[in-house]
Amino acid sequence: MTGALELIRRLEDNVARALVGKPEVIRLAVIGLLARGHLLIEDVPGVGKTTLAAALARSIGGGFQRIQFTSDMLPSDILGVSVYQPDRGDFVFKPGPLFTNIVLADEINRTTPKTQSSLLEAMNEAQVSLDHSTYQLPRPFMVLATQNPLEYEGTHALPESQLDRFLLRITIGYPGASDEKAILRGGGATPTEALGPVLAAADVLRLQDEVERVRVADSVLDYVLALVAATRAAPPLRLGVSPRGSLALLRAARARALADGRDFVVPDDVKTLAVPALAHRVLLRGATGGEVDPAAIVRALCDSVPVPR
Amino acid sequence: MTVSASSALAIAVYLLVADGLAALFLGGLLGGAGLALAAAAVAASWWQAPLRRRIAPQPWLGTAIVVLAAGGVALEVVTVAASMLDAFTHLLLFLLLVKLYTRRTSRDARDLAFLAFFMLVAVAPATTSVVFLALFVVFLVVGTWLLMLRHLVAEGEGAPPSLEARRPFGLGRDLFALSLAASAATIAITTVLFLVIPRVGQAALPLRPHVSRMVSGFSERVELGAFGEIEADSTVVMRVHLEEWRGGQGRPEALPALRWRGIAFDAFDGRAWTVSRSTLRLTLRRELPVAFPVHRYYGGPVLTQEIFLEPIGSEMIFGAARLLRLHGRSDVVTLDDLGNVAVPVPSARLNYTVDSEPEVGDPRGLDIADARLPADPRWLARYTQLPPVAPRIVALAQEITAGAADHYDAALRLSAWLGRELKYTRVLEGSGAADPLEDFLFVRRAGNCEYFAAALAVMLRTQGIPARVVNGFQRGEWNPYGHYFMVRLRDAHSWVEVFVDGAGWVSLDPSPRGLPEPTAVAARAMLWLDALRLSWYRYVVSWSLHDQLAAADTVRRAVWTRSALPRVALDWRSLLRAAMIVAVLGSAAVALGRRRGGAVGGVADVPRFYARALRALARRGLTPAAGETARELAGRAEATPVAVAFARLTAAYERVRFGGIALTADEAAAVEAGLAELERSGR
Repeated sequence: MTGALELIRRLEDNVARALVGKPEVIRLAVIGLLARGHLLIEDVPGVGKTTLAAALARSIGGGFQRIQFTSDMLPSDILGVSVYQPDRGDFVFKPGPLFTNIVLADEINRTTPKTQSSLLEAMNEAQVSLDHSTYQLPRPFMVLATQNPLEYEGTHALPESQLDRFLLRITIGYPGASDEKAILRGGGATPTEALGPVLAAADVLRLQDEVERVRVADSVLDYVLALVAATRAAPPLRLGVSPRGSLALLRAARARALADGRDFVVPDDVKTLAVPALAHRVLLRGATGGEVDPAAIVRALCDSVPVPR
Repeated sequence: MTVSASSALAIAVYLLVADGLAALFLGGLLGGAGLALAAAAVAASWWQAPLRRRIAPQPWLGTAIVVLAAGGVALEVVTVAASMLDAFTHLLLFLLLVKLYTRRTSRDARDLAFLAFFMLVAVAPATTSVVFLALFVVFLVVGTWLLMLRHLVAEGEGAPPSLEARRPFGLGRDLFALSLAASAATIAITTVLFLVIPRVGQAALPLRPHVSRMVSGFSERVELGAFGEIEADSTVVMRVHLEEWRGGQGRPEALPALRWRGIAFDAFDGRAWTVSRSTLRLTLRRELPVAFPVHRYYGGPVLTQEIFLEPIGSEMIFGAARLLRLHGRSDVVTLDDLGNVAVPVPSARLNYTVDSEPEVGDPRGLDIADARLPADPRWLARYTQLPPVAPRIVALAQEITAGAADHYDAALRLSAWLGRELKYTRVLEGSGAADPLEDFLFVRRAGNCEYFAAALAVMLRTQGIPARVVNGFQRGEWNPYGHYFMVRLRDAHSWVEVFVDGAGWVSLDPSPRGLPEPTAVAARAMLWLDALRLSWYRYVVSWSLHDQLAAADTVRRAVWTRSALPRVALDWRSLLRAAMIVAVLGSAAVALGRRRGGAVGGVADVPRFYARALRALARRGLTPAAGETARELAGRAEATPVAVAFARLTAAYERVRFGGIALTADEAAAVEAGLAELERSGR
């Protein structure tokens, strides 16, 4: 137990060297990693999305690839291609940048839906099917995607099915005044390139197994179900949370409990993670992208659903 | 003590089964040997349970057993069963054992509870015992408990086994207290319904014929010369309420000469007293609810008695002497000119009311026109009839009555002489003498009441004074709890009626036999039990539409009559009873309400210490919102002086509630200390 907590602290501290003043965001990112999930980091440019993703990736021993998504990108640019080799008289699969442990998919909504969808299977099953063959991705496998808010020019909104595959959607937000001052002074943050791995890939797998063993009381399960049911019944929402969403919320809650040094989930785990785990899975009724924020609706639901006592 | 839900369920099931078996025994549907056998089989099924778990169920076996049971019962009904009820009982027992030996799920527990219930139903028409009430209450309490447990277990059966194993159910006082409260409420509601819903019809199932009859003690014949010991049986055969004493204001000492007259005899053959063939018998039929007139009314005070008579194998109606009227359920009554009243031999307890005109102290001053000596010589011949009597008896009678002023004076002298000169004994030795009376008066000089009565009647008749022998019961013991006389078999008695011109037939008891001694303190419980038994019979078993109307009428009068109001209000016993009922109902409501209150916001599993902490916090004005977690509440409490204590309690609460981790002794002590701090500063 203490070993797990120690590892998690070390990881968080390492990431915090690069991303100053955002411990909650770092915690969410670590939760995503521990829960075998993928992260969608969404915010305006310049708040440190890429820094967070790169810092997390570099803190873990293992492969790391960064894919900068652009509008002319093709699926084969991510997954890889089969290349004919005349000397062997056969096609040989040449893996793309996806075949690594941590993938930083930068500005994922800059590319076309076709290319975005090619990530689907990889994210869900940690494998790639191409030309009638299936190729296993290495473990641990995690996609850290960043995107600009949807209303920005030259973006393609992610399809719902793809959004559903992200465990958590994180916003970073502007840093506090004192933290920003420290950044300006240049003494606070360490460049991500200077970060070394503090965790082996095997450690991450062990922690992920540990998460599976975190106990969930019946009443907490009921609470998760009540929350999800509330999104399905809420009038402002056209689409509620899928069972994949409730599973994601529960997994994330387990990971949060572990990161908090507990071997059982408390309702706070669920409530705190409701917005990051659920808000990107619901669809608003009526005009998209109006003044109503799905996150606000989920937050309001959290305040009305009775907490188990 | 913490018991797992499933073993608590098993205990409840076996308690119910034991209750059902006890009921069957009580109702006589199961004999002693049968009870032992059934109990052994039931007990064996308890030990067989672990074995059963290892055997796979055989579906065809169930069908085979059902066919077997159906066939067996059909066969029993047409051949050997004494009644339908016996066959039904055997089927119940068979099904019960099958279920016990194949019990697996909580559904089987429910089925067993139903079978136990059917046992009680089967017994209900076969018994009138108050013990049934106790068995019924036990069934209600345990049954309610079982239903709750079954629900818990059924809910738990769907849960993953890991959860079940880690968190054993805490089934301590709370659940049992709740089921007690629910049972109390059920009993209260049932009682109200029982008293209010109109009583119609008869029991659906026929009563088992009562074969037991008490034959010793009272008899419809007085035969001298028999031997043996009598009067030892203390079984209560009759209970007599005096209407005038209903409220308990009468004193039994005021009526020492009260006797319950059963049958009078006019003919004597030297050995036995019988009712002669010349007696005029009259069988009356009537329409309810008119009373049967029995005797002419002389104009004195009237004593109304409500009598509960056990089946003693006699058809006679008992009551204080000079019975005027009879109200009863029977619509056929036989009267004769001896004043004997008979109804068809009852198979169950008989409940009737009689009006009597008790005899006044000294009849000599009376001159009632209807009570003159009849001029008919046949009448005189009938009441002075005698077989050949030994000359020395006649001489003795003559000697004692010499100089008597009138018939009654002569009778008093004879009676006094008998009581003074002869000894009363219960032990009868057959002497083989040809004339038992002569033997009694001159040889043994000791005998029981029959000898005394016969001797007095015969000696009166030798002097030409009309007399007859009467059989009945002495007054009996006063029960101060139920305000009635308890008449036992050993109170059976014989005495004499002598005709006094102008006063009619007057009772005279020559036996020097005292009234039974007052009951010892130790026996008071028995008196109380007997009173309870009678109340059970009076207000439950024989509660009729008539009683309901009467009760409704009383209530109506009490409400509408002004004079009745203060009396009702000042009766502290009623007040006490009403207060007790309100208290029981109130506590049940509180228990239910608290339970419901605890369930707000999800599953009612809040550790007690956290609930206490929340209450203490509420006194400071901090109450959790519906969507507020424990930590958020602790965060809000941070501004208060109890922040640290409450945060510690919250952490302990999370560990217990969501971690399923029991507190260690140290932690529990810390929790207690925190609670104390919280509650102290909350004031």
